Amino acid sequence: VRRRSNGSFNLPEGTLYPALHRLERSGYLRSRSGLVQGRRRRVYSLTRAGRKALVEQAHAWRQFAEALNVVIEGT
Amino acid sequence: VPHTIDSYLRALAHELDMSPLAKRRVVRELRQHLIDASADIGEQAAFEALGSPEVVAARFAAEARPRRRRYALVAALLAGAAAAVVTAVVLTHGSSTPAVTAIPSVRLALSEERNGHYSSAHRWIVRALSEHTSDWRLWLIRSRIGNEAGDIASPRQNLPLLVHGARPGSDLEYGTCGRQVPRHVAPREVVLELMPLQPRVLVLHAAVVRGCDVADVVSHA
Repeated sequence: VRRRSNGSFNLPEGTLYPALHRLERSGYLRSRSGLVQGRRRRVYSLTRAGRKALVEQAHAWRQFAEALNVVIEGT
Repeated sequence: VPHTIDSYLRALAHELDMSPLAKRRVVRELRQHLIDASADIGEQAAFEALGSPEVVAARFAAEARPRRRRYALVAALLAGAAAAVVTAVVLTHGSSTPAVTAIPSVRLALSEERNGHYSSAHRWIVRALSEHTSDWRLWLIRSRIGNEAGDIASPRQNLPLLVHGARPGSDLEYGTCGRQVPRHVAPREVVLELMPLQPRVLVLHAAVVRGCDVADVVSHA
């Protein structure tokens, strides 16, 4: 997130795991334990419900950005 | 302050309030995280980046908290966020507007609000609104006071009037408040997910996108 936002979102690492666990409990993520590059890791991936939620939230976010521009620009 | 990964994880396990099974999983996962991070940036820096065991445990506890309580927090933040954006609009567009504190009943309402006397504050702000119905700033204050008094429906009831007063006939009014926004786009997950980063902006997200349905973010919890 930090890299993709060019440093704008500096998510504290300690907030990441609780959020991942909650999203998994909510059915938006699934996880599996496996070996990646010789190390044991837990790999998270989106479920179908998670993908759907992502699309909806992205749509809502774009609506928000447009609405906020209207507030700021006053058009 | 933990000096090793083992002592960090022992402290974390002590703080975590969850089932033994869930606790084992968290500890196992964070052990792997700390091993990787320590190899990259060193142990102490890895601890600092993750946060103290107490803070991490508190975040897990917050995520596991009943949703109703979490959304009550969202509701409380809504008032602050609304105040932030409206203040921004005032600063940008309304610098010539007389201050609301020029109205005596508003001064009394704000004073009572500061002292935590919300029912009295509400009475004064209602009186002010009876004389200045179209002043959106008063709707904002009424909304905030209602929210502080525990009335989570207050933002929902007052936001349309607030938006209309701030920007009559604007796209904002007709684009978000003037029509039904489909309920399935409720941005609650985004709000909760990213609230620790940008609480005001993200709660504002809920307020603007949902328009008239601000309180739905709460009631759909």
